[in-house]
Amino acid sequence: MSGLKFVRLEFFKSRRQHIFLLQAGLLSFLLIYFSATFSRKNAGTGWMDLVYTVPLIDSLVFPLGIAAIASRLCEAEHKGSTYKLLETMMPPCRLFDAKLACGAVHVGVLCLLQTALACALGAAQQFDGPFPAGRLLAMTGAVFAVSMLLFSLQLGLSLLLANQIIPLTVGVAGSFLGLFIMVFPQIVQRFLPWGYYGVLMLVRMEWEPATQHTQFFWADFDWFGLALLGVWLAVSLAVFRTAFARREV
Amino acid sequence: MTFQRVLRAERIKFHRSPVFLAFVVLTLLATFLGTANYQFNLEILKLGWYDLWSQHTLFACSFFLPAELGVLCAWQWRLEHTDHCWNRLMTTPLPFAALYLAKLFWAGVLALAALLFTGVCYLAAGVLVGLPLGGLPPQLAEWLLCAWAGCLVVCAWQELLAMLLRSFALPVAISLVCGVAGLLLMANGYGMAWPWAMISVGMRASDPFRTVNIPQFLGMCAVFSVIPTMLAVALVQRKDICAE
Repeated sequence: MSGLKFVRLEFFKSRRQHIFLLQAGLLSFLLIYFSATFSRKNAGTGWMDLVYTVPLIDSLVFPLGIAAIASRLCEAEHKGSTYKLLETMMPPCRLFDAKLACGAVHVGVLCLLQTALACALGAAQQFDGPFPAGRLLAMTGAVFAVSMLLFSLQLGLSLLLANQIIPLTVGVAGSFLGLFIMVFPQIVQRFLPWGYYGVLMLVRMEWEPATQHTQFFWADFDWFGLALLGVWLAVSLAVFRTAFARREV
Repeated sequence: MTFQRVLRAERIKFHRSPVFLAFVVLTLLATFLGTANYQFNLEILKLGWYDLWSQHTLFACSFFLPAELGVLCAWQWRLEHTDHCWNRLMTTPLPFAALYLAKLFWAGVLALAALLFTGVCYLAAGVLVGLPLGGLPPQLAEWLLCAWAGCLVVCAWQELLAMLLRSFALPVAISLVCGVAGLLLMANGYGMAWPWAMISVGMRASDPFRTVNIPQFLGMCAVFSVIPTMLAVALVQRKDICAE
């Protein structure tokens, strides 16, 4: 059986798991949040606010949202205790890869639709200045890369542990860390996977305590941060893929 | 079967379960990060214990306490959703409301324990950073008790969601989204109208000096707790059960 067929089978298995409903719920929430946030903003810095706000709010809602998607993708196997049967037909590594690819599609769709929603809102609010297509693309790519790192962690936990309390608690803790770590220096953010939404931000904020004035400015893309993220992803995949393959069912 | 025996049965289900770990780990995390942030910003945080309270609880009460309670309630109902337990539940000679209330009772006990632990961590962190015990806010007990009333509301709704949605993850994700929505509603002055915002209203994390009309707050908590309980009982009585 080809790899693509395994991925298709994952989509068949996740039918009636309401993953699209979960994504729709997350996107609806983001739409409401963006509408409430951007309508009050100055149109002059609208695009900059948007590129700043999207990863910020993602650091809060995506860790748990992704944990929920990963948990749902593994639910059929846990519920039916089908690993023994499945692994007589396909190597466990292929099953892990298929679930990872299926999850990548879900996460990718979520990231793309989120950017599309934010852009539509920006256009509707008639933000000033040229449309920052390159930066929006980079933002989407960065959010997708961080989300895939989190998905690989959550998928590994959800596959290895039948009791989904632990993966979902990790998701809640990730949401907490992702948001709270934004107030810490970037060097601290690099030490945790959930901090990379902040590391790869394209807009930075500076707050002047004396005047209590907040200033936003465009920042260069942090290629070193992306490379570190790649290392995190490689380690996460290697650890969880190997652990899943070696697990006795 | 008496209600005490139902309570006992529900308590036994907690044995050897790691569900309390979520509360311990996340409370410690909130304490550590909140205290660190307080220490880094001493030049602007001048209100001592009050600022430390905000740092410890600001994010927790809006986002993470509802999500933790979501995990707890989802776990409670997961036991019933597996192994055809629903069939057994529906044939036991006890009213469904007793079972629902027993689950809510233990969720409330765990929420109270979590809040007491939050209080202990707050005190310990305050002493560690050198805040004088004499300056401890006299409202601390009120904040914690009001937060507990808010937790009961969230538990009541999460029990309903976890009962209806036979998935572990969905009710938890819904609780986080509802918690964040609560923050937005609270910022616009509608906190008392949203069940998931009641913890924030009671805890007063964003503004420890805000006054809350306690009878009105408790009345709203009671209404918000009764609605999902009645809904749950009515739904189970009217809808046929399909055990998995």
